[in-house]
Amino acid sequence: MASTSTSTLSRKLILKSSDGEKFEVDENVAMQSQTIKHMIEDLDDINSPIPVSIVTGTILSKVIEYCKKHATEDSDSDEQLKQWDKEYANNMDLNTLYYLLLAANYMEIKGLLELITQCVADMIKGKSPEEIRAHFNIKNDFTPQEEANIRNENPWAFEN
Amino acid sequence: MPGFISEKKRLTESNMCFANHSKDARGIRSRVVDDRYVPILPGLPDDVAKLCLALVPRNSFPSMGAVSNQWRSYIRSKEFITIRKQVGLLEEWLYLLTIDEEGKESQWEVLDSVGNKHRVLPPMPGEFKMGFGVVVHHGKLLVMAGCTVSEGVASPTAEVYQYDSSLNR
Repeated sequence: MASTSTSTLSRKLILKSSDGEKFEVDENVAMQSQTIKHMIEDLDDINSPIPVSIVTGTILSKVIEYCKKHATEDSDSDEQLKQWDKEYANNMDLNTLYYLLLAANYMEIKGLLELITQCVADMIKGKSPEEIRAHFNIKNDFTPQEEANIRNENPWAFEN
Repeated sequence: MPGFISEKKRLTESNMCFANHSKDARGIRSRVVDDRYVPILPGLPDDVAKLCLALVPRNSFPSMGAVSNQWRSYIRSKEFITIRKQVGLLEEWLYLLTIDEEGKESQWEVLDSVGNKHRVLPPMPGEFKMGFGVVVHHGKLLVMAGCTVSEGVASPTAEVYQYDSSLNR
């Protein structure tokens, strides 16, 4: 813990969500976003709010919660951090996960993107086609004939 | 050979694309609302959705291939293999054709690249064949032509069989 406080004094940045909500965060927290990192490099005045234009305040606060946790490397072991990640993702409904995924993709936060994509992948894992469609609201666009074909597929499809 | 075929196909597809665009005077906007466009995961752009699908363990692929046309064509695509490779989940398989001692029964087997896993593929359909060509293309094993032997008479065949490693069929 002592080592972090002796390093360069952390500057504060202000992030502004798409709906105008402002968040003051430590620079090392915000810098986990590659997008913001690049924005800061081009910025003359770091006291002016940095717009995160496609992310709402509700989602941005969750993104910041993740970045804060992952900015402080000192207290938690890898195991604890993984557990925290798991609980963090499990507490979200599918809609929130999607918005977080879009935010992580736009803000280029690699760890968060990996966490949420894996979480969605785990929801697909082990489900039947019907369960997948119901969970993700996907329309079955196979004709009854196509569906029957898929169900009765011979191993080794014959291709002419 | 397969390379040539896909080149040809791509050419026709791009031609069709061009024709669609020129016919459609209203431009891009009307193409976006086109009801033929179905997202892979409603609510997510396809590039992100594709990443999610690529992270699912392989034994769920057959189920995923039966969800919708979009899912099916993505799982069978070269792009799927490319993304699996990017996220470090692509496995390399070695296909082996084994024949029993009497030289009568043959079967395809699969080994993973480190030799830990070993699996026998479902039997190849059709009659017992010999002299066929084999190629692996985008994760699919293709067995082509050759001849069937019945009652000592060999007759050539133009049949092509495909084993799709993504869908195990």
